[in-house]
Amino acid sequence: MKKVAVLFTEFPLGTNSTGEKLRMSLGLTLNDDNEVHLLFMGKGRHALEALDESAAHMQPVNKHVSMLARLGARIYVETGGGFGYLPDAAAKLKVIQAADARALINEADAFIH
Amino acid sequence: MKATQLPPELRVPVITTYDEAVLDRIGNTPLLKIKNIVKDLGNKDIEIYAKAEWTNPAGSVKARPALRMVRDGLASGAFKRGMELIDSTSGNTGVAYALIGRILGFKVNLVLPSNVCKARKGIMAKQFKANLILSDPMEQSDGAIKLCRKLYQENRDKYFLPDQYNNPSNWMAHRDTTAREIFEQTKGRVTHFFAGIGTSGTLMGTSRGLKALNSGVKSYAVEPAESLHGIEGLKHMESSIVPGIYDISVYDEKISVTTDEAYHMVSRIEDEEGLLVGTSSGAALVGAMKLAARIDKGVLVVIFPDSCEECVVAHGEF
Ligand SMILES: Cc1ncc(COP(=O)(O)O)c(C=O)c1O
Repeated sequence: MKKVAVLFTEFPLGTNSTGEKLRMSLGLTLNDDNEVHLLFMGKGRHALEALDESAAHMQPVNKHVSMLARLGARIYVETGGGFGYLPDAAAKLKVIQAADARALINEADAFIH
Repeated sequence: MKATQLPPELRVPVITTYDEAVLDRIGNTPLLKIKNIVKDLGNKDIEIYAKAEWTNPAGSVKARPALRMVRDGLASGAFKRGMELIDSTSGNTGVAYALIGRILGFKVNLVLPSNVCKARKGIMAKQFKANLILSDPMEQSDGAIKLCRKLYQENRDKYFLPDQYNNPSNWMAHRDTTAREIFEQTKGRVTHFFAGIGTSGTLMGTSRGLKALNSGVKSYAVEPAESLHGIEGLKHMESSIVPGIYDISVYDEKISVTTDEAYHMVSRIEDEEGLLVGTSSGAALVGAMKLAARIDKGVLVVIFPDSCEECVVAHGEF
């Protein structure tokens, strides 16, 4: 079993990289050999909120997050954010501190950021 | 409180060294509660906040799009080493370009109507060393746009023209920073957003970002009521060249404000809130107060694009 940590620190409406990393995470989650840990820190926390991405002319984020939550990816969010998380994600997520994120990244076999 | 006694974090930053760390200080401006003028509304459950954009380096909201346009130009290759920047501006974008040019080491040429705030022109020319090209004041910002296009067409290899009226990086700067900051600073409670329209970048980008974060947020374009007006930085769309980035489907309603209303509000903001703001800030707050008179509750956010601090401080110097 491989542990993969994926870090999201960017504002999801300002870059396509959030959507890309989520799609990549989906692929990784579908492989039974991987245990995928998604870390939403700082501005990256907005990816867990209900978004209307098209209003911002951005590619989808929410649908990937919901799918990942349903597929059993582990979702972590840095404390202090959260102005209404997606129900799918809210049920699963674990609130952590920056130090916990660092530890998770150090433990991981692969790190995507 | 007298506006001149404001704490340093609420004043136009004084730039003493020109290193890239200055650019990191663009954005993350304070959100200030309007405490006294809202009393006009009686007991309604309405809060109004103003985004203090003059606290950006270069003293205005335009530092955000100016930096983004330059960075995106450098990244795409449109702005190559050795080229000079040229653009038309009502003043604030020019000060921002000039500061950024001085820091990143490129020459900045600005075409602006000759009537634009004297102090601001002085700052650009003296402190940030920009080259100023003055256009016919009778034609306002449209005259500057036309002259700038002509100069650019005559020498396309020499100039990088960010073209703030047609450059998507202008509005994207606000989607990625201003909108997110407002959402976070109000803890997601913002319900109504107001911005004056010049290039329309602030309104387009912030509205798109806020509506993406909460589709219930309503946004309002504040526009000068008269075609010949005295609200610096704003455009009367019907009688102007319409910016390419302007899209009426992005906002919910347009609110017209007269020059007199805007000026009167500027002096109330000074007397009652202790802030020395520019006329477009006055106009934006008039817009918010007009809407507030029609609703019962809400968390309203208004952009205060610049201050008049430098005009006062520098009076007579330039
Ligand atoms: C003082 C002032 N207010 C408002 C604006 C309008 O902002 P925007 O160009 O984003 O519409 C500008 C700039 O154009 C300005 O200089």
